[in-house]
Amino acid sequence: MIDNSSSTKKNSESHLLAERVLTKISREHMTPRPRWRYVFRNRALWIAAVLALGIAALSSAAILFILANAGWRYAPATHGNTFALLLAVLPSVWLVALILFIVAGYWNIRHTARGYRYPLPLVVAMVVLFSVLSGAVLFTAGFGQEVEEGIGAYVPFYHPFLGQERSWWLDTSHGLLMGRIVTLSPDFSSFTLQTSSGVLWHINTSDLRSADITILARGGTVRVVGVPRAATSTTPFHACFVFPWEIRGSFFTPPIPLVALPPPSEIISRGERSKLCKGVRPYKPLRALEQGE
Amino acid sequence: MNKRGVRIDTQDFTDEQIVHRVLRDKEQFAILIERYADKLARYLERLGVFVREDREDILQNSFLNAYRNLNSFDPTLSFSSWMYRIVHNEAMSFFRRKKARPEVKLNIEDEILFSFIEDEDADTSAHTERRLSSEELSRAMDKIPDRYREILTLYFFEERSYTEISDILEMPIGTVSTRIHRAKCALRKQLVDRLP
Repeated sequence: MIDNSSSTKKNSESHLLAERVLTKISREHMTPRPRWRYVFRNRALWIAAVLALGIAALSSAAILFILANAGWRYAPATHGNTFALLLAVLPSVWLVALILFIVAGYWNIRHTARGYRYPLPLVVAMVVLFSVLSGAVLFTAGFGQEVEEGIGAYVPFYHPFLGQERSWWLDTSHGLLMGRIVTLSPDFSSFTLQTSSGVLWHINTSDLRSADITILARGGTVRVVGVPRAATSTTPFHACFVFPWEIRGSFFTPPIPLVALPPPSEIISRGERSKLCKGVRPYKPLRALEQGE
Repeated sequence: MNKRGVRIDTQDFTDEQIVHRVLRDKEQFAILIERYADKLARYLERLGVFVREDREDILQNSFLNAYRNLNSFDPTLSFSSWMYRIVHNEAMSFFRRKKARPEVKLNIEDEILFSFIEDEDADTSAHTERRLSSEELSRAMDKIPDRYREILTLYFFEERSYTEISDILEMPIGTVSTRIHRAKCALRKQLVDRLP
């Protein structure tokens, strides 16, 4: 008998229960599961949580990369309005991944040995903040494109965003063109552009102004908005505006300038563009953009 | 000395110390069983396990479970809370297996019953004119959601602290506090609806 046992019925019942339990333990050779299993499980949950939040951070970096490079300023030219562009660029795959992995991270943390003790709003806020801020850091550090294109390559039916954006800007029937500047005539009257598929375009710059020429002289890749024409036409593409093609959140190497830039006054006089340009594009929004350059 | 030849003075050791000793000598698990069997049996009854054999089965399974998982016991928690958690989970599995919703059958003094629904912030003047019977409170408890009933059982009947309830039901202390408040409101509403 245990020292302080009494003769009450209750005690006798608990004593019988103890006997039954101990007999079963002996008969079935039961032993406590080793501690390492619980330690391992707990650590595995923490590692899984960190991995899930890491992937959430990568998704966040990809979302930021897409949103930062969507070309919101050019929405009137590419999609007619900002809302249409938003629908076109909405990074649904990455948003779903972000939400899924945030939930996975949260679930893993909650199922650690003491996870239930953390206040719900605190865990949710920390998990979301960690994912978004880490994503922002990755994006700022220049990993945005690596993530979006590198991981995106493993996602079925996923098309990297820059490829999509390029396709919007390779539509001369809507007056849109993008590519790398190959040559620029000494008098800035024309230049040659090579698209990502290797096609060369001769471009008439008679309607461009000093701001545009400055961008051309820097070299590299540019966006050109001009007079719509058929892709099969043999006449040079008539440019109305030139904008830089900058990629935010990427390991970007600045191009070597094509020419030393003369004073703006020597390039071209400011003034209204020809009727060719005014009639066919969302002229005013683009003009406003140019003034802000 | 018990039948197995182990001399144990239950007054000398804390639960946590005994857990440590059980890992070396399983016979000492009897001390923990005898310490908690009655309390846990009462708790099971309050949860709605009325058949004695069912209670015994649940308790036996719970203690066997506790023994198997003894190494998962975190000494920073109280053994009592850990054991209540195991019994609670075992009872919930029992109800799920039986596809039955636990019923409440209370049997306590009216004075205590009334204190359950008293709330300093609330206007209880309507209730003061009349005392509640165990049956009335049982019926009211039956009408509130399970999550409220189980937390009220732990808080009022088992007299567990917020921290202990947090460890037993595995939820943050803030949630325990909110849920107790909501449970009291829900119970009060049921009682008010029943009062003439």
